[in-house]
Amino acid sequence: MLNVLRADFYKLRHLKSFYVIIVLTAFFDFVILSDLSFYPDSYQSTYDNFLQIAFYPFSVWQFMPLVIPLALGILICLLVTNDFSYGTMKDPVTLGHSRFNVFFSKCLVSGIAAIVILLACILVSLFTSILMFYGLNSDPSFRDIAQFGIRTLLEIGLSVAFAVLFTAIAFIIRHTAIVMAIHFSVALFVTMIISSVFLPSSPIFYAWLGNAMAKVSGAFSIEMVGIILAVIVIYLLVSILFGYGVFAKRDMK
Amino acid sequence: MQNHVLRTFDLTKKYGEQTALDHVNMTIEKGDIYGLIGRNGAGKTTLIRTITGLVSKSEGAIELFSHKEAKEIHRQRRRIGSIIEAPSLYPSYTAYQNMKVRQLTLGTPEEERIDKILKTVGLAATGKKKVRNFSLGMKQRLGLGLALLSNPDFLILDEPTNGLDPEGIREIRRLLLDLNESYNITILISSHILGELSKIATRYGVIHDGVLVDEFTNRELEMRCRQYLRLQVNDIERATFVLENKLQTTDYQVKDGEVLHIYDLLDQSGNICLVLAQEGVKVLTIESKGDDLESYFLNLMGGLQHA
Repeated sequence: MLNVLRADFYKLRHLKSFYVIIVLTAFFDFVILSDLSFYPDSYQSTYDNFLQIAFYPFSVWQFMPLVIPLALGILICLLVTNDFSYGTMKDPVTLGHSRFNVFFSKCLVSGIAAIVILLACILVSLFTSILMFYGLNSDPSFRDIAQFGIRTLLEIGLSVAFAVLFTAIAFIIRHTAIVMAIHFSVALFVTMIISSVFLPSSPIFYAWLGNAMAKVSGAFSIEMVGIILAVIVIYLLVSILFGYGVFAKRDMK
Repeated sequence: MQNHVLRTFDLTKKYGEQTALDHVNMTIEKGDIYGLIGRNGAGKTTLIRTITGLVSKSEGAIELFSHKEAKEIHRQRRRIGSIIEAPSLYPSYTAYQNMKVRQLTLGTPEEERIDKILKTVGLAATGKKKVRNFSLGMKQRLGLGLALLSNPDFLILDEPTNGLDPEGIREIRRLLLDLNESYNITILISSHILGELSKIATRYGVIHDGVLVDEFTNRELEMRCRQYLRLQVNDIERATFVLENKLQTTDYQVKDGEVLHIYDLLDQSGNICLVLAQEGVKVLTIESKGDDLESYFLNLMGGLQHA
């Protein structure tokens, strides 16, 4: 398992698109936050300190909950379906690694890539907030710091769930163009449709990862944290079981 | 002590109604260079994929390095190096990076082995050149290098000389013979270039419509493809008497009552006719015959087609 994981990390490290995606998503995050600085009336009346503003790109127009899954969709498509089209997916299998190891390694690497992208965005958010919004009404309290930490962890969980879901889709469909189209549709349209059809108070809002990402960035309760955690676990389990189930039974070419 | 590297027992693969492999019983001994022959779609690649675990079998069993348990077979696959159909390569990587990915997957620590293998397959000087810019022959050689990286006991090569120029084919042949002789690596090769295959293979298996129709050694092939003089005579008994007593040869066979296959005295057809004529035997026809692997295979396939 570790050997397959090492090889997959090597591939991730040598994937130039990975770095481009990190820079682009972080740049979009920066642009949205910078834009807020032009409306002092708006942010001064809404936020007490810079730490509360850091998640603004996740809530306004559900911008980052659309951008991050899109970025993951492209990245995971390159990571997984390329291996199918080059025929390199069969290498670890012919070398005696179990299909579960092959599948799970890809899920882990995708998940870690998702964490890196998300952390890059949050770091950019944090530094931009400090630079542009420092010295707002008050300094961040312990409660603000705790909420920021919990939000970050939940966003990480939701991003990893997105990554594993996309990895499973890529293993099931395999064809690069179709996988890319499905990833894009899932990342954009599902989130958009749910936000336009259902009210934010609806339970359906929690049930979809993209909307849950936006929800986490707003006010939240302990109950909501529990629900989000449950949603993450369910998506992870279903994606792994379904993706692996298909991959394990399928003949490889 | 058992020396089987691979044995299959009634190995069958079905895709719905279609049978791709039909009760294949195949044996490859340690040190063999086993040539797998068959037309396109005969089942060669399916057989190779089943052995390497890419395709699940519908029925039957596989024994790999004398192990039959699924878990153990999985483990033993580490001892196999393979190229299946085309070498699986990352086009945006260099030869070294492709080798590095394989080395990490294998978990072998020796970095210097990559350089050694690249030198062996003649790709040491490719430097930062991406694989997408490689010629077909270079890709094929890199594929072979990847297969060799694991220090395999058993090499499975599906069309390893595809796209190679004559010089490249000769290099690969030399390399495979060297690996087989120096390291006793067992090799299974499927190839369409039968002339080339006949220069290295020690055993053959012929697959047709998913059925392993024939298995024979190189020696048996030599016997089957032996050059001979085919003589049609009017008096077969007298002719055999003359062959044994006047021409001093017993290396012949009588076919269909009036035809002789003489495996000896191949360069003395004129003398044979003369002596037979002097002894009152009329030679109706005489021709020099014999097969190579290619014509033997084509004859066999032709026979199967009409069977």
